[in-house]
Amino acid sequence: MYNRVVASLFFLCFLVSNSYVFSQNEEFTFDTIQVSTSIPSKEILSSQDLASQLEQQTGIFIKTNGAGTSGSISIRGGSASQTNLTWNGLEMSNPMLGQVDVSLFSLFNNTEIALITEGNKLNASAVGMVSLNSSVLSNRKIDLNASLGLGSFGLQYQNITFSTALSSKLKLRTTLYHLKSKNDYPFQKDISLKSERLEHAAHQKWSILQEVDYIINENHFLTIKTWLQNNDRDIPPTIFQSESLANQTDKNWRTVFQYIGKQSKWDWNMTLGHIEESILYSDDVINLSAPSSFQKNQLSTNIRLKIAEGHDVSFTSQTIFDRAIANNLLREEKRIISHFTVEQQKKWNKLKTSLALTVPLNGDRLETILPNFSATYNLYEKWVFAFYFRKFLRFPSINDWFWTPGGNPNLKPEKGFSHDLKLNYNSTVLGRNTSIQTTLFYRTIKNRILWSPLEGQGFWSAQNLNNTKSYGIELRLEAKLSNRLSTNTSYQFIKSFSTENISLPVIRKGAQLWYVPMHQTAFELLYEHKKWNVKYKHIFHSKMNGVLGGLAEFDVGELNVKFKTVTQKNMHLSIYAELNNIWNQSYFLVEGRPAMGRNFELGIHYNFSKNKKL
Amino acid sequence: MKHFTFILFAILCHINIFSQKDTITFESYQIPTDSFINNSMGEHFVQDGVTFNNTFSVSNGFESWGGFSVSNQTDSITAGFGNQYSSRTAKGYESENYLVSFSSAYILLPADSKLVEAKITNNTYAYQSMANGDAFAKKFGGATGDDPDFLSVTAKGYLSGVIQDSVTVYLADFRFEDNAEDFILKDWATVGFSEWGVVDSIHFSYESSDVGAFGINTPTYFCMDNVVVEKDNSTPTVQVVSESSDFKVFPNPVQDFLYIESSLNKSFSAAVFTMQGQMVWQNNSLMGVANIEVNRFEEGIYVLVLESESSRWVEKVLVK
Repeated sequence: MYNRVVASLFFLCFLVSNSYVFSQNEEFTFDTIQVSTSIPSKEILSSQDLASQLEQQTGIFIKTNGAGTSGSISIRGGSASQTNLTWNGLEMSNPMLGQVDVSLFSLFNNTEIALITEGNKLNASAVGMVSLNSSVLSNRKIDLNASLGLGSFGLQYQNITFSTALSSKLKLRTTLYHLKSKNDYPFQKDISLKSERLEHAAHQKWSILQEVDYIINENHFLTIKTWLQNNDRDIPPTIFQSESLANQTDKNWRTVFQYIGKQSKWDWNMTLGHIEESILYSDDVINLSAPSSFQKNQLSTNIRLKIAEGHDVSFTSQTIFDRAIANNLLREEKRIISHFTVEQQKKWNKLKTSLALTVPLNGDRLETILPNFSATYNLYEKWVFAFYFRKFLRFPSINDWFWTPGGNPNLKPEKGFSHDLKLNYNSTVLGRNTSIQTTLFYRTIKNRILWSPLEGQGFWSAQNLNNTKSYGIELRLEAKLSNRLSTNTSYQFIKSFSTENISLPVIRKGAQLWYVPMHQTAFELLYEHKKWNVKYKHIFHSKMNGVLGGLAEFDVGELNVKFKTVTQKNMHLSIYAELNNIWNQSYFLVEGRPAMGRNFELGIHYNFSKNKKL
Repeated sequence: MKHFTFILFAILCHINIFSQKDTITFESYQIPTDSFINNSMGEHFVQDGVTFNNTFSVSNGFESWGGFSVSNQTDSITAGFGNQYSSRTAKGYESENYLVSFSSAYILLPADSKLVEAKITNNTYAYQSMANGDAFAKKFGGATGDDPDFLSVTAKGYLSGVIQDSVTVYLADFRFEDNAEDFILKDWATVGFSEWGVVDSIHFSYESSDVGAFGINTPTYFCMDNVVVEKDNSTPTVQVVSESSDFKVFPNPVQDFLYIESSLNKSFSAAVFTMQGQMVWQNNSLMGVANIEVNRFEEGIYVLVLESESSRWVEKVLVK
């Protein structure tokens, strides 16, 4: 309690010291130093889930067990636990595992994705972050979007979104989504053997998303979003297994309420969120039924004050109350994790800086103070230099602390430092836009948490086992080659390693960490002409270390074609087709889990709108 | 002639010393039908002076164990951890009861005893895992049946901490040229120790072809029955055991594995220091029974420090 009071006083003092803001009378601007890679909602037409959408991004690696099965995100060599995912400001990780299963996130054609790898929007507990946000609700009286698709291996999906503006103040949007797939794709267990089909891999999910926006007046805005989802998947056998009858059902209910207020000198927003998720893992082969569930309640507030022209101060607080129940938790486990941040942003001509201090609390326990500094400098409007430095801290998950057996209440949080140096070049050559982005990064993590079967112990337990370092470079080129042709090419090099030898698990000092490819490239060529939109994408992953051995390098091509068949005043109809893994490469992202070979997807998208405003 | 007389005398002495053979069948344990005993009484299993270790602890409601348990479970089909107490043979060797071994298992013999033989087979969990694979371990032989997989358990006999002899038993072996010869043990096999001399303890360790960064993926279990011990009488063990109210450390002197048993139902830490004060091993999160692989250390005297929330114990250990 004492520490919570200290943290509150810390903010109050900062607030008082800057209170003269209200006597100023200058135009208000919100300059944030923020770098992110975005995928706009209009590009999400097909059945692709979040994992598929993200895997082409620089600096990100998606570890997936195959189509429809669980997947996790790793950014710049960090672990899945060190990656945050938010949906409209709501932190989504499973507090028991401390990470997100990206396969649980249906992507509608109104979801916008941002990948944040540095800067002041990055959560103090993460080395990287994926932010999902719903696009702005339509002002039209009627706006109907429907997608219908089918594809290889029993894939079928339907997505309907209906928006309406009931008045100038009240807008509604309802989204229904359903997908099912058999995923019985062919694969080879061994190069000397005949191809066989994956069994027990069916997957089905449905979602209902209801969104309501209420504009109180031009300065005050309310929104409520509630999302129900059911995800049922059979878990196929690995190539090392004869059969599997395992199944997992995830039921989620996520609700987020947001209030945004604006005045001439300040703006304020509050996010109140609630997540309920129940998971049932069962396996008839081994007579196992393992139910678990968790609840997450979040309250976040942000106040941004304009001190002077080019000088902002903001205060952010986030408190998350987690509760979890599972057979291997002795009781309902609860925890409260809070972060309080104060940030100052200043602009001097072409230089912008941001300095933030975050106080993380575990219950009432103050851990440390986390600084976050960013600076960007614009040179001739074409060059942007940026430097980012931050300290971050990740608390152990509920399972890390309390799972029986092996949970370790004495675990220390993972702590680390991150340094990024970025150089961006943007230019227009012969009327064509060209962008080159280069990022150098260096990161250290202490007290890395791993589960390990210690010597002489009959079960696994969570330990602060080692320290790690990561460094690397990311390059991205976006260029308009002609009026019809553009390219987006990226390359990343990551070296991520332990700084000491560990005997169990076997981790050699200096060796590349598991599931971190040292080299990744993504090449995209886009042709747009009249009603046609054709995109070819090719990605390459170098070989990786896994817990069972090595995983071979691979490269995969994908062809995407979109054709707008009808375009009338109120109606648009387009047909799209995708040919994935076009060269039918056989590859693995996880040992024993073959990825899908060549597969197609064909869909139709229909949009009808009535523009008359109420 | 004198020479012959000496040999005859020696043989007679030998016969005299090891004239009593006892076969331990574990049938004296009264177990409900299709059940097991995993020593909830907090003691090892002792039969005819022979100790079969058992560590059983309940930590936060979860039962963890190692060593041996006594079982009469009969499920030879169901895969998975939940069926860990069943023998693949669905019964003991010509009997109902048998031992199931997991993790750090050892046997302590009475003084001047020899282990003659024992029956060994797989438990159902390990058998099904090797036969079909599971979420953590591979199907032996791989997709083609050609992978040279194996799971073996090695019994090492010690006398005063010094290894005397060892026997390796293959619980599964897929290394044969002809795949038809590949096998996963599903019947009771006789393992002979008759070549061994006197030992005071037998320690078991596993080796598998299916190994990852976290060690052996294959479930490390075996079942044992009809343990035949030859001895002169039923004198108590000569095992050198150092013991406090909370901890037991043995053997000492030690050659390969130093065992620590805690009677505490909470975690404890252990650290090994050289006499110069340099720490050579540490683990801050141990429970129940633990072992330290000391054969990695130089020979000499070390200081073992054991600490829990409520107690601290320091013991000198001789590594040979």
